[in-house]
This record gives sequence, structure tokens and C-alpha cells, in this order.
Amino acid sequence: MSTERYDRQLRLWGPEGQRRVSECRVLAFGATPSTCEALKNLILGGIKSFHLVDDALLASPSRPDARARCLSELFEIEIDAEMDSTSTVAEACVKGLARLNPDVGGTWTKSSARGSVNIAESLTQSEGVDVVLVDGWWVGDEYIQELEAWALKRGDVVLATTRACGLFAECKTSANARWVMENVTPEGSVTKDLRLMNPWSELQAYVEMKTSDLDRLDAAAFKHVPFVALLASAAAQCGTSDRRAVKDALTSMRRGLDEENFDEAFANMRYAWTDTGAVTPEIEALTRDRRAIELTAESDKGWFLAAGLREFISSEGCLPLEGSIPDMISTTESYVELQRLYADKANRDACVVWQSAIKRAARVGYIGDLITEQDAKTFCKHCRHVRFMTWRTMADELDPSTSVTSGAATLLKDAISDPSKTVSAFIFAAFRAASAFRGPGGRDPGVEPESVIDSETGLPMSQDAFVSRDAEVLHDHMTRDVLQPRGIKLDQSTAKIADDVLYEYTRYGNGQLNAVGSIIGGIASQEIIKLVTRQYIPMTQRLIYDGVHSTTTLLF
Amino acid sequence: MSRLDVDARPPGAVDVMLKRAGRFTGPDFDPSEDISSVLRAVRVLVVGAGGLGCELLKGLAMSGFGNVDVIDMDTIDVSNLNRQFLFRSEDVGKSKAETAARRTRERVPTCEVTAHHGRIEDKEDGWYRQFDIIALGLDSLEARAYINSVCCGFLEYDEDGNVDPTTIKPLVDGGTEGFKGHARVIVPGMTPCFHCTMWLFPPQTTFPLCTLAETPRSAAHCIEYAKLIQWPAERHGETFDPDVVEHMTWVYKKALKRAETFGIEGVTYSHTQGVTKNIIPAIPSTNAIIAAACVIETLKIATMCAKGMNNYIMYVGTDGVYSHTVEYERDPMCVMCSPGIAHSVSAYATLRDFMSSIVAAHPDSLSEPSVSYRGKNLYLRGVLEDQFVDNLTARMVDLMGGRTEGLVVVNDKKMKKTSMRVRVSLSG
Repeated sequence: MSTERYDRQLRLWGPEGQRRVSECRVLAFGATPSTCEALKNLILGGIKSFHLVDDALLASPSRPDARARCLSELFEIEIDAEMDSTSTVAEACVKGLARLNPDVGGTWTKSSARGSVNIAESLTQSEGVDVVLVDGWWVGDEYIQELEAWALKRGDVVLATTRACGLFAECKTSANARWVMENVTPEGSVTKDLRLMNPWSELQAYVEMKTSDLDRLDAAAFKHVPFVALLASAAAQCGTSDRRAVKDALTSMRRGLDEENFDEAFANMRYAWTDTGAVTPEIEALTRDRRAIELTAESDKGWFLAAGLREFISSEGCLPLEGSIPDMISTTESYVELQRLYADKANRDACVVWQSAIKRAARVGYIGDLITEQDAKTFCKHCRHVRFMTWRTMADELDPSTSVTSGAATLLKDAISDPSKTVSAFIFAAFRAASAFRGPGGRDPGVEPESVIDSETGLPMSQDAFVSRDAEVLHDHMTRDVLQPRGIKLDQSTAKIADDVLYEYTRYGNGQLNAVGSIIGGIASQEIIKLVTRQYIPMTQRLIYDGVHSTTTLLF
Repeated sequence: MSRLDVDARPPGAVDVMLKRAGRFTGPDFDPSEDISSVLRAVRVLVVGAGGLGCELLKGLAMSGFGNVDVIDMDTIDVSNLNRQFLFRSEDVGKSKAETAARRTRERVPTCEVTAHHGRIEDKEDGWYRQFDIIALGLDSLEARAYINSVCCGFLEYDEDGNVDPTTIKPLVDGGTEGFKGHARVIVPGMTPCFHCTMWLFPPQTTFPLCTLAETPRSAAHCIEYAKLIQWPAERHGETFDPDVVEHMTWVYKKALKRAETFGIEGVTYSHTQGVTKNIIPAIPSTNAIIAAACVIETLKIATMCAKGMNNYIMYVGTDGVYSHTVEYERDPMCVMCSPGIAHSVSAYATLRDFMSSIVAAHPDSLSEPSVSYRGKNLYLRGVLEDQFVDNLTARMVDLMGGRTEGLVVVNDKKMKKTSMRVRVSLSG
């Protein structure tokens, strides 16, 4: 049943990835469209459990909008006969969300943002927490930094935050630095690691065997000599520096014009002079990183593998073989033989790296997860794309003085002056300014109080006048609380764009659209899946979504 | 759902956005207090009630749309449940369109959702005309091309090549595969249609039969052989049905045996399903992101609350998050949506001369054309063909009432439902 249910995702991250998903416990703060839509995707994907925190009541005198908010913008919500006006939105959401997947359990707590870290701590004691999902508006920029600090101290806990207002939104994840090495090679990677320029001895023997008697082969056999053999033979005859000669050699080997294997050889001719085992500067830097040299008992296993790779490179002068070959015209026998040749060599190379890594691990008394042969195989297969990733902290970006020392302030300044990023940079600034606008327990920009009276005329204000007034205040906050402390001044053209973005932000009246929640919550849940499965390459930067122009931009 | 009255849709974030002027609104945006009157009047057709379709229905209903139709021919399968969230285990086997419509109505009673369980090709072209916007949640190129051809078929141009705006049917299209997806807005006659950007879709890989039969090299080759060659040879009269477990198991076992004979690895039951059903991996997050992008564009088209996307966004989530919004350009020669392809023939050309010259100029689209001018058939293939044979030797200039320029419409079974618009000039 569950294999069938998860079939379409098992084809992406496999049983091991799914096992990691099925053990994942998610703690979410804020019953908002973004978090609920993110939860929806995680629940459908088959996480273990989720816990939702929000103090809003289905109907509350202090927040008469609470009920409207949940019914208009939250889809997975179920209000049953047991619930009344003192029930929480969180309870109704959990009830609705839990229907999505019978395998996943959901619970809730009624609490305000102030108690977030305590809740995280006590849930960790009772059930455990692997992922913290936070609505940035609900928790606020201040508490979110506390929550992040808490999560990072827990080691493996990851945090994802989203925030949305109208057609604008942002998403950021936080995690401790980590290796990524599974499923990191981009699909349809164009270069195949064929090693035709400097074949190893078994491949040389294969090429020799397949091409020594070319002239005596019957027509059918001739048309089925794999292009790899043809090309390697041509290259061996005339050296790889003379490209013209390789082409001529191939042409002279040919009998007619209908041999598809020769067509493939011509199409792949660049492999005759491309050193596919060459060490890239990225790998050079990674294997010579201080952490791959000064190994300790506490080092991450990735650094032992990187050290093993360094040793392999220095003795072999090239990277370990990737090990797979593309489909090509061939007889079954020749193809399977060739396939095995490449796979065996890749396994041998990985084994050398593995031996070196575990020897080093034993030497320093490594205490981490077992370094398996499979780890080494994965590492070597993807060695062109494996990486050690680091995240900026929330404080680096949100706290004005820290952002100056972390360099984020400069990056924000650069983004403002880059026309392709200006709007997004001001969306980031608008979210921060809105936090300052609201202050503790206050009103969000553009949210109408009971009545809006023009102080001069005594008449109700028009929507336009009200939005303009709030937008001006928001603008002051942006200048004073966001830009000035970061040493950013606007010129005339960027000031006009800032003005437009802040007006638009205010126009939305802090409204969270279900569809924008789907997008930003969707992105957050996708990042969580990548971090939990430890597959694919996670996003480390802050993402800004601009629904007006339908773009996403990475800041910092 | 009880206790709380949900008959009237309570005001939400969309309502606030729509009642206020903005700085990034589209042309003629008219702020309005009454969202339901604006959005209830708009009729949206959702094509497909699968992963994207469920998300589209949810998003449209939650955005205040009040009049939505959904069409899908499929029934619910267990493997849908990891993302098609309007369905539950107990719905397996039921109609996707009907179940999705019912669930959406239950949650959002203010949204009238009408289900159509059936094939898109079985609806008359005119049926599609009643909708204002068509949102596509499909997984096949053929189905997209079909709806595109229907909508482009509605277009009417004047003789200067200006499109009649009342004949435009906007399309919003989404597509996903694993962590990747795209969303696009097609305003036929104004922005590129599917056919203009056909190159975006890579050709599907098919294996030559001789490879399958004589030199299989991969698990997929063995599976295809079992399905295409062994099945009809050994189970004649029976049609292979990928949804019947016994059929799938049969193909799997045959493929496995063949693979063992040839020393090929990798034939599994799951892989057999993947190859025979052409399964595309799918996850809820990508569907949510792409469908919501489509919903937002639908809302923009309906209300002008913000500028529309221009005109294509691709999303890739495998390496960080990367998206690219790009303005593709129309193919001025597009046989689906262009005002007309300029084609000149001699002033003395007969209809037969014209027909052979236009076929020679567009051999990919035409082989046996039918031709009409100003709504009147000049040549029609099929049972009535005899009536038109005399026209073949008539001069074009006479058939066009003495004019030397004009818009001629050419149909051909090679182009399925679309017409080719030809701006003919008779010269020289």
C-alpha cells in the first residue's frame, strides 16, 4: 500500500530517502496559508508527525478577523460539532490536515510566539523534533532568531521560515553546515566520463579486441562495434592533439554512410581530446580545504572522503571514474561487457578512496557515523558536484549591525542597485520595515482599524488616502530602521521603486493569499524534503518571491 | 463542516487587494468592494483533475472564483494519493473530475464546480467557447496541443492582420516533472502559442524495433520488447492494460527473463511500470508551486489586480531554487496562431496551381488541402469533393471576386483541427 501510495516520489528519492521522510517530525509555528500549505505537502509526502502552534481562536473578540482569515485563506481546515468559539484555528487546521494521510499524526498547542522556544524544547523532550517550520510574520523577526539559535544548537534540526504579504513572499532555511553528496549531479549532465583520451589498461584491451580485426568483420558485426571503441582506436592511431587526423582516421575506417555507430563516433568526437577525468578547481579546493587535512575525531565523514579523494588524485593524477556509459549502437554482448568494464573500474576507484578514508578515520579515532563503502561510491560517482554547504544565520541578515559585519548589508545594497533585483531587495526591506511598523501587539501596515477618520476633515478616509498614509509611515520605518543602519542611501530612481513596493505592500493589508501560501509554502516544503532526505542541493540563500512580476530572486 | 456558516465567502486577502488601487496593476484595473460579483462572472475551465488540477481547483476556489468547470477522463489510483490531495483512499476507482469537484464544493460552497468525466476530444469546439479562461493541468504534449489548436481556431483576424480581441481565449498552462516545472500564459494572437514554441519540448525517445529485437542493451529495451513484441505474439486478441496487475506482472516476468538471457541488469517491477506507463515522477510541492503560479495569473487576467506574467516561468528545485521568467516570442509564421502566412502566386494561377504551390511551401503541415475564402468553400475533400472539382481549373482571381489580395483558409487532416491562414497575393 505505502509503496504504491508513494510510488511517484520513490522514483525520485528512493526507499532510503522515503525512510528518512517517514521518520521526520515537524513542528510548525503559525496557522497561516504558508505554513499550512507547506505542512500539507509534507503530510502527503509521508512524514511521521506534525505539531502546529497558534493562539488564534476560531472567533475572538480581540481579533474578529481570525475566523474570516482561516475560512478564506486556509483550505485544509475542518470545524466539527465539538468545536466552539474558544477552539483554536490550530486545532481546526490539524483536524483538516490530518485527513490528508492516515499514516501521519497531528497535534497542536495553543500558544503565542513568545513561548516558541519553550514549546520546541518540551516537544523535543517528549516526542522529538527534526524540522521547525515558521511563519515569519506570526513569530516575528526577533523570536525567529531565538528559534533558529535553538535549532542550530540541536545539531541536525533544520528550520524553514516563510513570510507572505499579498503578492510578495520570502523563504529561508537554516541548518548547520553540511555535506551534500546524494543525487547532486544535474539530470542530463552532458559530459560523460568516458576516458577515451587516456584509457586505462582494461579499456585499452577492449578497444584493441574490438577494432583489431575491423576489416574482417561481416557487415552486421561492423555496424555494431561500439563508438567508444571506434573513437578510442582512432585517437590511439593519431594522437589526440590532431583533431583533423582523428576525423580522417574515422572516415577511413568507415565502409559506407549508413553505419550508425560511426555517426555516433563523429557526434562524440570531442571525447577523443577531452580529459574527462581532469581535476576541477572546485575539487582541488575541496580536497585541499583545511578541514580535509586537519582531520579530528569529530570531523564530518565527508572530510575523510575528501581526504581519501585527495590521496587518490595525487597517486592517479585524475578523478575516480564515474562508471556509467550512455546507450550506444552495439551488440548486447559488447555493450554489457563495456558497461561492466566501466562499473568495475569505478568500484575499484571508489574502494581505494574508501580505504584511504577509513584508514584516516581509524588513525584519528573518528566517532561519527560509520563510513561505508557505499558512501565512498556515492561520493566518487558525484565527486564533481559534492559540496560542503553553509548557511548564513538569521541575525546575519535581519540584525542591522550584524548584517554590516556579516557583509549582508553590502549585498542588500548591491541588490538594490542591480535592476534585476531592486524590487526583490525592497520586498525584503518592506518585511523588515513592517515588523518595525507593527511593534509589539500593534497593527500591521494597511490593516484597517475599526474606523479610519481623516483628522483634518473628520470624515472617513478613502482607501487610497488610508493606504498612502500607512505607506508613508512604513517608508519612514524602512529608511530609519532598515536602510540607514545598514549604510544604504537611495538615489532618485531606486527611491521611486521603493515607494511603489511599499505602497503595494501596504495595499495588501497584511493579507496572506492562499495561492501565494501555496507557492512559498511549496518552496519551503521542497527545501525541507531535500534537507530531510539529504538528497539534491539545498537552497542556502534567502528567496524572495515577487508575484507581481512572477519572479524569484536569491538574496545574500 | 458545521457550526460556522460558510455560505457566504468571508472577505479574505484577495478582497483587500481587489478593493484598493495599486502601483503594479494591469491596464484598466477597477478596484471593487464586491469581489464575488467580479469573479463569479468569470467562467474558468480546468483541464485535468490530477496533481495540478487539484491544486488549481483549490487555488481558484480560495481566490474567489465562483464558476469553475473541470474535465478529466481518468479515475483515481492509489499512486495519485501522494499529491492529489482532494482524493482519499476510499475514492480509489472513482472519477477524478467528479470527486475533485465535490471536495472543492464541500470546502468552498460559494464556488460552483461542475465536473465533466470524459475526454477533451469528445467535446465540441463550441463547448470550449463558453469559458473565459482555460487553465491546463496536463501531463501530455498531445492534450496541450489539442486545446491550443481549439483556442487558436477561435481567432479571427481582419484583413490587415489585426486580431479581433473578442475571439481571444487566454490559456494558463502548468507542467511538472519531479522538482522541475513551468507555468505560462498564452494569449493566442498576442503572445506565443504552444505551436510557436514547440521546440521547448524535447522529442520523446523511442527505441528502434531492431534494437529491441536483436541488440537489447538496457532494462528498458527488454521491457519494451516484452510489451510490444512478446505480448501481441503470445496473447493475441488481448489488449495490454497497464492498470491490470496480471498484465504488468506478465510483462515484467518476460522482460526479466529476457534480461537474464542477455546479461542485462535493472529490470524491476517498478521499472516495468515506469517504462510501460511512461511514468513521470511527481511530488506535491512542485505541483503546488506551479499550479499556484497559474492561479495567480488567472486571477490577474480576470481582474487586472497586477501585471500579467510575460510570459513563461521555468522552475528548477534540484540545485537550490532557480526560476527564470522569460518573454518568448511569437512565431510570425505559426500555422496555429498567426494572422496569416503570406503566399504569393501568379496572377493567372488556378486553384490547382495555388494548392500545389502552398503544399510545396508547407510540406510538414499540408498534403491534401481543403480551401475556403470568406467562409465559402473553394475546395473540400471527402464525400462532397465532386462538387468542387470544377473549381480546380478556375483562376484564383475569379474565385476571389476579382481581388488580387485576400485571406484564404486552408485545412488539412495533417493539421488536425487547425486551419492555416494564408494571405494570398496574386502578382506578376
